[in-house]
Amino acid sequence: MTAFGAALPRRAGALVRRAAARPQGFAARSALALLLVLLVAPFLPVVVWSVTRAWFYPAIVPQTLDLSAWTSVFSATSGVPAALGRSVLIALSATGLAMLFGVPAGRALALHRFPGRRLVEVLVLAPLVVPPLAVAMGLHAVFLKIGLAGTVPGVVLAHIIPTLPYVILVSASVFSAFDTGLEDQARSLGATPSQVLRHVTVPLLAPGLAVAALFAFLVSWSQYGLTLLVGSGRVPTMPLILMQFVTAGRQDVAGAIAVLTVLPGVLALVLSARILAAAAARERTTS
Amino acid sequence: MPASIRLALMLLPAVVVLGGLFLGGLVLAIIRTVGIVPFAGRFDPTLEPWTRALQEPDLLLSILVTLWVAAASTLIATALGVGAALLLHRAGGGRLVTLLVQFNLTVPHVVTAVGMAWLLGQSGVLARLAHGAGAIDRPGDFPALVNDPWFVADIVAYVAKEVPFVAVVALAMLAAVGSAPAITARCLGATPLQAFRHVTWPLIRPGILAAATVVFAFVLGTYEVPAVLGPSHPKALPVLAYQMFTSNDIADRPAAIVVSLLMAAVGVVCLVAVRRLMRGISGLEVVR
Amino acid sequence: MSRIVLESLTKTYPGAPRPAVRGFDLDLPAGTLTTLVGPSGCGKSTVLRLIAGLAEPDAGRILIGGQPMAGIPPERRGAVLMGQDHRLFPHMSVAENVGFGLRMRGVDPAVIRSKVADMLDLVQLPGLESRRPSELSGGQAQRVALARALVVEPAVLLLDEPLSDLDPELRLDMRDLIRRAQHQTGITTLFVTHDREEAVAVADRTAVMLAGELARHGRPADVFERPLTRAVALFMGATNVLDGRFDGRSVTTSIGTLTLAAPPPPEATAVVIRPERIRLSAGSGTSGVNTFACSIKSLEYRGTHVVATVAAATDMLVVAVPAEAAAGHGVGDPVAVHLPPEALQPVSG
Repeated sequence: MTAFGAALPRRAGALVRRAAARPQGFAARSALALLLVLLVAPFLPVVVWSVTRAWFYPAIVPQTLDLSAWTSVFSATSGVPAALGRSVLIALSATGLAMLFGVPAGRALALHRFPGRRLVEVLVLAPLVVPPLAVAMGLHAVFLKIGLAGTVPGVVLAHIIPTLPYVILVSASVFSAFDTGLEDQARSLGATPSQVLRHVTVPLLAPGLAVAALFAFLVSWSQYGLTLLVGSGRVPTMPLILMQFVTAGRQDVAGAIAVLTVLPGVLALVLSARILAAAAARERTTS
Repeated sequence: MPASIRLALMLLPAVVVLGGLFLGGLVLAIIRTVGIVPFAGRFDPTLEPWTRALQEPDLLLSILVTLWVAAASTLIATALGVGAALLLHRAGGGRLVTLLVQFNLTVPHVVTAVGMAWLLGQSGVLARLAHGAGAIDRPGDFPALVNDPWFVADIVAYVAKEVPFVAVVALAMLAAVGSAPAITARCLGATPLQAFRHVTWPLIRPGILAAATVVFAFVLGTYEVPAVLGPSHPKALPVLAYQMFTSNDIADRPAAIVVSLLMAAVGVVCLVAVRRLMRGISGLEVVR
Repeated sequence: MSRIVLESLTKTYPGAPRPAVRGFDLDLPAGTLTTLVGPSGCGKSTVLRLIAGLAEPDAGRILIGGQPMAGIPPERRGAVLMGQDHRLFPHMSVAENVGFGLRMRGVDPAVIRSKVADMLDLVQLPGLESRRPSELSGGQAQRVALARALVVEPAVLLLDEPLSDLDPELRLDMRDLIRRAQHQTGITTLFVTHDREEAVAVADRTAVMLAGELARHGRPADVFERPLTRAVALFMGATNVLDGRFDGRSVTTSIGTLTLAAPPPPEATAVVIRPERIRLSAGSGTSGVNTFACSIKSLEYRGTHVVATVAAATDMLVVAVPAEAAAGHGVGDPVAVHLPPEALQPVSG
């Protein structure tokens, strides 16, 4: 879902930060405080529920603290550790495949003109805008036939649909900021094509592509409808198992699962901030 | 020519994979609604799924509520997102807001939906605060915001998720446009408001509208949020389609696809709109 | 030291209406510095890319040290390109940048270290090994790029407008540095520029390229003083072109009949004269050869000199006069212009 935003400058984070550092008026401060409340509010009950079982209406704070949700989340019988592993496996595989197929396409879109380019662009944008349900339902019969429905590989394949466009768009923006003259320069100085790749292209593009991979991971990690349909309900990932516990009325376990489900995003943010900061420090050019 | 072969090799995997999975899935979905299932060797052309779907008693209502939710969420999220971006761009709100905006982007929708249910439900956090303030007595006194026919919590959840998205896009657009056009307008005698309305806004509008269209299409096709926060009657279209697809009557499946194709059709219209809007915005148009 | 020979090079980019380079011949004697000058878009950068192997010619041959280059990849040509943008690798230190080519060739690290130090001395940046490109000024970055190119001892050094992005004073320093380094190393060098003053100042030989073709090639002073064709004359700043009928050593033009210093070649169709070679004197005395009465139409102050446009008979001449000599003149004043026979160059085309 955040793919479109990433197609725009990757420095959005830095922009937000820079903008945020300026002085402010009272009205602006209040408006932003309200926004903050809206952004935080849904997570308050999630976090609270993960540490209590007794939080009955009308108590504003829970009656007792109880960490049993966390013990059951980490016990094999709850199915949560398995779901966690499954989610990681699926997201890693989908990201890997999306990077494999998407990075070269991103480079082609960023640096070349070619006939049929507009068709490729439409094909790349389409999965971001056209709801995936119909596509998943169409694939379902084929996946059933070839034994992919209800399997992890089947879900991985389905997750490529939303992650691949994302990787293509982000890597296109990475490549469009890349000076291919550096590759020519390296060749001219005596580097073979594989040396150029190893010593110039990869080191220079790694930070941007790493961020693309991190966020592709998150896109796969967050999938719900696609996983549900293609997995035929038999591939419970973290978002799916979260719903199971909500439906079962176990708010405490659901809260703990929700916290776990949010963690990769936090990690990705920290990591991408580090990667981009390191790259910026390394490459900062004087003007 | 080796250069063109290299280019083809760079594009081919992505095109084949997207074409096969996305377009292939879409085409299979379409032909299945007219009785053709190539991989199961079924070929009995029929329009039965279409009549079955269109006779679904709740269909019209489902379409209407889904459009309502998508339109309301998009409008509110876009207005708040642009407002937030302008505030952040000009006034600023510190590292905390920054972090929260970015963090919110990474949160799966299902988590926001569940959190919203626990926040806005009749025995949720808000209801408890209302009780603590003496405003209500029993949970039933609190207005029904979750699973209600107006999809209030559903809309609020989408707004909470999409405001940061719109804000990030708007901030990127504002940064790309820079302050020079507005300053020029001010030098030519425009008030700050006029400078925004006549100069800055027209420049950032295409990006904002593209983001809004993406939000609209996304809300239209998302299952998990209305599954948690929407009422059981009328259902949002994705929920209706999914339930028909998994109903005990196998004959409902093609009809379910018809329902999801209705959403896909709106999505295609959105796609055309996004393409139009993104023309001239850096991102895809990056050829040097 | 290698001789570089270009034979009828032709290159058309896909989709381009005209060839970027057409039937281009050029001979760079071993150890010389040749400047290739032309207006932007004339194809000079393409010539460099063809020699460097970053583009393949559609027709023609490139010989480096007698070896034909067709099919030889860039890294095995010994032709190093250095552009207007220094293109230092942003993720490497100065030492890593300068040593890059040697590292790619598998040279021993200790040898690389000492050669890098020598090169940094040569470009007058000793001790900057551990700096990052981002910590260098524009002039320093360009000198590091030069060191990086020279350290691999290329057969030919290709410089593509290496001074264009520098401030005026730095430009002169860098120009001298390139000239000195070239002398010291003896590397055959092709220096592309659009600046005609630069083209004649640093070179052993100067080639003028117009619209994809070689228009003139020779010693800088020859190219400057004797353009031979109308197009080269105009490009080199000989603004005054007078069409005429030739008759022995005299030519009849729109301002009158002019006497030449030597018999013109049969293909001559016009004479040209540079603005600074025309003499301007007060009054309307027209005694002497090639001297005509005229009046000043405009005066434009240019600091060191004044550019006067004068009407002579039915034509206009542009004259550059030292500022102090122009002091007494005003618009409308009658003056006499003298066009020294030795300054008149017959051109064809």
